[in-house]
Amino acid sequence: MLIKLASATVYDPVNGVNAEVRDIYIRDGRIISQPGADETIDEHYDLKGYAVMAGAIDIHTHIGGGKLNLARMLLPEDHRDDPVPATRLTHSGCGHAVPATPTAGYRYAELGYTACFEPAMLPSNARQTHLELADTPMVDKGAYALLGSDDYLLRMLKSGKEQEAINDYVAWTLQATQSLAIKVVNPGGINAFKFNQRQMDIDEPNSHYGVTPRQILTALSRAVHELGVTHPLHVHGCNLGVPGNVDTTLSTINGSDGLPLHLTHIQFHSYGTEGDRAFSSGAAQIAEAVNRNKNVSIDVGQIMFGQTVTASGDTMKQHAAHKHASPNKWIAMDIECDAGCGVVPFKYKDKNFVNALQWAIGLELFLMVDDPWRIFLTTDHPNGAPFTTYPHLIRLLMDKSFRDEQLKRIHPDAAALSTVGSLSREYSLYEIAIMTRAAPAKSLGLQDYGHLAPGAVADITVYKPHRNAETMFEKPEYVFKDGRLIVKRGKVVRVVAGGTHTVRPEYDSGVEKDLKRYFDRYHTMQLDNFRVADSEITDTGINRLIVQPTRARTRS
Amino acid sequence: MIIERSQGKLKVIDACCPRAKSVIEQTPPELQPRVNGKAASLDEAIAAAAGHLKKAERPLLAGLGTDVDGMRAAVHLAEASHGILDHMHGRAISNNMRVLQSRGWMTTSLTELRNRADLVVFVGTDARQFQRFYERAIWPAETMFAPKPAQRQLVYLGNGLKAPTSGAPKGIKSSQLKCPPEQLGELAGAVNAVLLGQPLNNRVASIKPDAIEKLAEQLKNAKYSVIVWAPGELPDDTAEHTIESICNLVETLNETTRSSGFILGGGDGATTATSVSAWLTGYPLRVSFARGYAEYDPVANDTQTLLDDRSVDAMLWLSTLASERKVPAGERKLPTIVIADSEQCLESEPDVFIPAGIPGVDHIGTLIRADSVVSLPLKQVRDIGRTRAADILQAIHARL
Repeated sequence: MLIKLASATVYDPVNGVNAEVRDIYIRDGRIISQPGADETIDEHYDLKGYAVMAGAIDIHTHIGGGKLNLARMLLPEDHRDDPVPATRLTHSGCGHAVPATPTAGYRYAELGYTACFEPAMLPSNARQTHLELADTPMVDKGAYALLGSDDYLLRMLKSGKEQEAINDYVAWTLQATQSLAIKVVNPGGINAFKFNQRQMDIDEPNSHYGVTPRQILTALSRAVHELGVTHPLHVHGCNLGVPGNVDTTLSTINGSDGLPLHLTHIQFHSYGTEGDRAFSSGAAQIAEAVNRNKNVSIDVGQIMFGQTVTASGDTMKQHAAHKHASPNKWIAMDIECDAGCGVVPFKYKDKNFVNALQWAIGLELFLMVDDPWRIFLTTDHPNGAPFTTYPHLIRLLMDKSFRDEQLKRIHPDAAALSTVGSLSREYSLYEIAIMTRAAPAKSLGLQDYGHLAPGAVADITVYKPHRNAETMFEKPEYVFKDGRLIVKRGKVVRVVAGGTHTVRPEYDSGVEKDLKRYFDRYHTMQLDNFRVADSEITDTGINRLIVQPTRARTRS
Repeated sequence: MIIERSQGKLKVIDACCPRAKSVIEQTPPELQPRVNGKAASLDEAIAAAAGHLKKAERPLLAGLGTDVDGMRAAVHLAEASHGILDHMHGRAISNNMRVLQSRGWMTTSLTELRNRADLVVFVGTDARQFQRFYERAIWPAETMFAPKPAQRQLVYLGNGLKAPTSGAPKGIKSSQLKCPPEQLGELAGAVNAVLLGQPLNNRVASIKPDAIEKLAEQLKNAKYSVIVWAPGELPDDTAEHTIESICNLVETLNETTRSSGFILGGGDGATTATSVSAWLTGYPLRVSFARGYAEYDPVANDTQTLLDDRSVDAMLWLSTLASERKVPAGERKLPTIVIADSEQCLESEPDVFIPAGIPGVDHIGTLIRADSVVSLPLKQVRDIGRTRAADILQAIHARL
């Protein structure tokens, strides 16, 4: 199968291509430089005037796993308003805040996304997460294993186990749970909540283990680095949502010791305590720190106004947030001496001072962080807003006059306190291409993804340029997945399965001896059953494994 | 699980779920597909089943005792045939789910319970139907944080409930407050009221105020209490109120200490069916595809109601987890397809009978545990040529 995308205006930041008119050839799922003279083109697309980018990649989106499934069960009323009937091609489902898995896959593809990463997979819930991801069609998937509140790691830290042993455990976890990266959520805080601690600052010890969040951050970020895993430790820091947490976040950055760190949904961690309401923006300080510390990358976790639901591993903070639940119902769960989860529905209102300022803080971060290679476009779906709001968010970033109009609608005190109105930056298409595909692919170490040079996997999105960026991005003209046309004019025309990205860093298999002893003593399942076998993913017929390389393991 | 094979027979030689043990050690019955009571090939039976579903305007796909793949196939078949999905424990699932959807809850999972609980309060259940619960969660050999398992306080609220004697360590601390099952909600509400500082002047559910105050005190002083309920063991009329009261109590306790609910249930694949339905359709069970998309109605889409009201015109009963549950029937006979691991569910000859394998015995599979967190990979231990329910359902689907 040979496909030609003719005369496309190409945005391919990995290869430094900015709005150059080119032909792209696809053969058998990959981009090639030029077909042989005797080859016939099977499909020809005349793309004169169309913008072409690699398929978009969402580096942080909660699309599968136990807490999402609880959120689905919690909110039938949210689903009722967005029914999705079956078609000749597609399964039925439902949408809005936490869509059914098939609907999530279709809608992501219809927005030009070809890969989505579930950022908080509990190891004890890995099997179910992969089952849900397998039932999410169209896009490639991957998951980050959540560590840092598991009793096994805390016992290691308490007993002063050396870094090498921690590295073995982290590598084992990555393999046993079929993960791509490691996430830490409120480091140690989920565990501390089980001992009835209600808040935890970065240097505050766990009442049982005496271990601090900073020790956990250091141990895990070193482990990820020394194991050669490309994506840095993915950090949901301490004190999410707490006014004044800007100091915690700055302390996290400053304490990173030059080790790579990805700070996720940083908007929720950029709050000051100034002003009459003791709630202010810390975005300028955070942006300055991110600009200065090249080892740090972030994603924003922009909030958008409207109904959504927050689903997080951070039971400590979710329990505290339940007083704002709207509608007033919520879930918290302690899980398997591993972690936990909290599900709290939220309605962000533009006339609410705090919500309005949260919205502005997110935009300030987008506009003040200089390097689009280190800031990724996310709403922390569904926590800040459903991913379906991305086209609107892109317009906010690309169109100052539109942004100013929206600013007039929010709580006037929040608008007055924010610098958004004075920031004139408008993102270019090239920068959008960086932050939504090139940079996430690079950060995650997805070889052959996120760019359009020969050899790349042919995940490609074609947009019809429009002066309204929201119009342009909400309905791609064409989307190709692995070289097959899957979406035309914003509608699915072919259903494909996608695969699951993983890494396989090496570890000393001796680690399993102690793990087995631990499981036999304390757990309610056996170590052998804990591990998700390759065949559980590959034998389904609706998923496959894509193993990404790691650098050679180094010793500390 | 360790299984030994000698002289063509399987024997389980270590501790495991007694139901699994009995199924594995039995000599499997000879079973053949049947259409209208007559032996048929698998292909003929599948064609006949598809014929009934094609003719039906509103089929019911019920029982749903199956693994993840079986449930995936059942959801897709219900979608394609505009059918309705309900599980054999649909009433218990829905009573519980309605509380989740009205107020949410704080719960815990099995390993947390095992390692942390210093006080376990059983409401309307003594968990004896869940045979390995005590061994795995209440009285394990050791725990990470909780006092020694024998020191764990066990309190039973209800009638005729007590800790089992077999397997119990010496010197266990258990007590009971006698309470009619219909009044458990009032009792939990009274404990909550005491914790909220409201004076209790009269008996509640015939229990003296000081006994209720003592329980409130125990809960308040516990570091990590767990309140256990089994939705299927609560009286249908008052289950929702009871569960809601327990959840209110847990929420109050968490203002000052830690406490969690624990839901006992999920048997016969109930949690698996509910979870798969939730991710594929957005809703837990009871779901109807009558209008081409999933609609959730935990009251209307009840198997027995649908059969009695004649709101469905065909039924597919799926039961492959060695359940003793009989195929239900309404007054009027409907075209009935039974896909099951044995004939023990049959009370009369269905129009189509298709034998299917048991996940974890006849084929590999995955089941989701009652706490909705952990899922278990199941192995194959014998090969007697039984087909997977998922394959049967997909084959029927392909013929629609």
